[in-house]
Amino acid sequence: MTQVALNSTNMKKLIAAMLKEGVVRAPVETEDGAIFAAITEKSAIAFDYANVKLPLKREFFPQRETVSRFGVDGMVEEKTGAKKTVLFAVRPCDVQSILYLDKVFIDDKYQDPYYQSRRDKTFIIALACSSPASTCFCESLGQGPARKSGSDVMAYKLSDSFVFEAVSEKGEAFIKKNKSIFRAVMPKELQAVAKQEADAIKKMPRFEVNIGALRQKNDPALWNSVAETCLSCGACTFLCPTCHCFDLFDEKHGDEGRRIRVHDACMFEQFTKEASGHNPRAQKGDRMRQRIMHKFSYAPENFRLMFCVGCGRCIVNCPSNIDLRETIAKVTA
Amino acid sequence: MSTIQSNPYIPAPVTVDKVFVENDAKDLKTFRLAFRNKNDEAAFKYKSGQFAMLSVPGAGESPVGIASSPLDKGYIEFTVKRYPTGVVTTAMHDLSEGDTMGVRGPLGNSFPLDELKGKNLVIIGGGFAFTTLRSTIRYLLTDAVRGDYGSITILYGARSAGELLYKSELEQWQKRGDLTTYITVDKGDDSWKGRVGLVPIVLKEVAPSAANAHCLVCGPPIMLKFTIPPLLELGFAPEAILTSLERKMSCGIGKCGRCNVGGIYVCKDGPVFAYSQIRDIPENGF
Repeated sequence: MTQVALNSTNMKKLIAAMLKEGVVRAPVETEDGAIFAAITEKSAIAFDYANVKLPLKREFFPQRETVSRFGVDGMVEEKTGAKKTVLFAVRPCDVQSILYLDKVFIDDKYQDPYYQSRRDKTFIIALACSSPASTCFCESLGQGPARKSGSDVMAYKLSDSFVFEAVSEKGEAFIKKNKSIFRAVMPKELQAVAKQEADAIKKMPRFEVNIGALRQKNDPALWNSVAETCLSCGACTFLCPTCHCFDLFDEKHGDEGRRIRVHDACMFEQFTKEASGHNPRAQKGDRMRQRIMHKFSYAPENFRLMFCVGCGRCIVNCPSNIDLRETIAKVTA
Repeated sequence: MSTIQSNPYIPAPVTVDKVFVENDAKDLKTFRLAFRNKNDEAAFKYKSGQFAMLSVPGAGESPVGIASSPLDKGYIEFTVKRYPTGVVTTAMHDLSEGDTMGVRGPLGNSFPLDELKGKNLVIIGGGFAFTTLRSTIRYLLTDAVRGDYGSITILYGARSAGELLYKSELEQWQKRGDLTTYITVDKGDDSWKGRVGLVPIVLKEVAPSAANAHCLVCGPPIMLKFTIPPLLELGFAPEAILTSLERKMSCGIGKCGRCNVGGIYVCKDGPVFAYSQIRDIPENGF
């Protein structure tokens, strides 16, 4: 597909072009690290982040949203009012996570209207990763720092220019429409793109998941031992770009109220605890097993995909320093 | 108002038509519900074994098996157990006839009754897990349907006589000549003239034949744990033992992740499973 280049000094022109398409959300630096936020032509985009603090799922599946409102007249669906949005400079791992969530939220039988309304209106420009963190392992999962699938346009940041490549038809149309701001790609830029990817891959420690071995490990004592230091805080799941468990609950004031959807986590004891008091996953080890097995065994069974993109957020943010890679290694040893 | 087809999260409004108190403890009630809108009623085509999310606006939603027969027209029925900590079930028990609530569904798969035509059926239930089996039995005993199946044997048990569900129907079934019915209670009392004994024990005593037969068995995990081995001993193949799993659920449509056990989602892959499908899942509960 079409490849073009842009001098870094012309970034403002690209932002203006994107703003014509809709709301533009891109990584911006904050005290807590880079996060996605709506930008204007004047905003400084943080291109040199390893990964944004909060996963991309929140753009489509917010932590809290109203599903419906009810009153004396019954229950009425809440529309998301999703606006056309360009997500700019998204890491390929986060883009992959959205392809996985599509399988859950938009399956053959039931389409989630809240997720889908936002998904349908979003254009994604991915940004290849040049400096993965020590906790990154996308390459080990067969994905890689410059994976294009899922994006509309793939971008590569070089020393003083950017290379853009159309990935989808929508991406092709965007580049054509804005051809006046781009220039032809130089051969040395393509060489730099290839070198950047190869260097990024070299930087990442390798990690292997033996799914076959994992499936044999049902011993509760083994799982309890790897979950011993877990605080059951759920940080790993809330920050995971593919974790999608949620709860629905009602808020009521007088005769009126609303049904709300909030992120939930299999790491919480209450998650599966029934009103009778029975809990099929009463032990921390049961819940750790569920989180790991859902990603690396059940998802492959159902979707032929591991529900992990190797972003490392669960490792970086665990208050007990539990490392997913070590957990899997210990369990399958 | 949206219909359930356009947005799978929006319940159809229903009116509580009748409430039947089922047991002495008064914590089991059957709710007969009527759809407010004809379109919603027409769209709610279900089979025995399916469930729905019952919704009390302000309290929330809970998954409950459908207890009426697919051939019952003009209403649907659900039997709901109230738990002191159950927000939705308590709210439902506080409803009166004429009140409004919501129904989302039908959801999940069903007992494969069409595939079982010509077979003998052994139906075993324990406690208040008998609800979707009651739907099945009501369906099977319909004049137009009964002839499609061979012998039907029902074994139903509860903790005590006062805890048996659907008492008037049980009496009617016992009078019929075209089925064999064993009703048992764990603990007898002066008023109970019938059989006393736990379901697995009675199963061994009455030993229904496994020849050309399938067994539908629903009950608490502890009952399943002790009922499945004698069924296997009687010669029922793991594929011919069908049960229904229960799990906490939020969405009922395979998205919220709550009912995931092993590689299956109870809500969309079940709730009905052959024993052969779930026996190796560590969290199957029995």
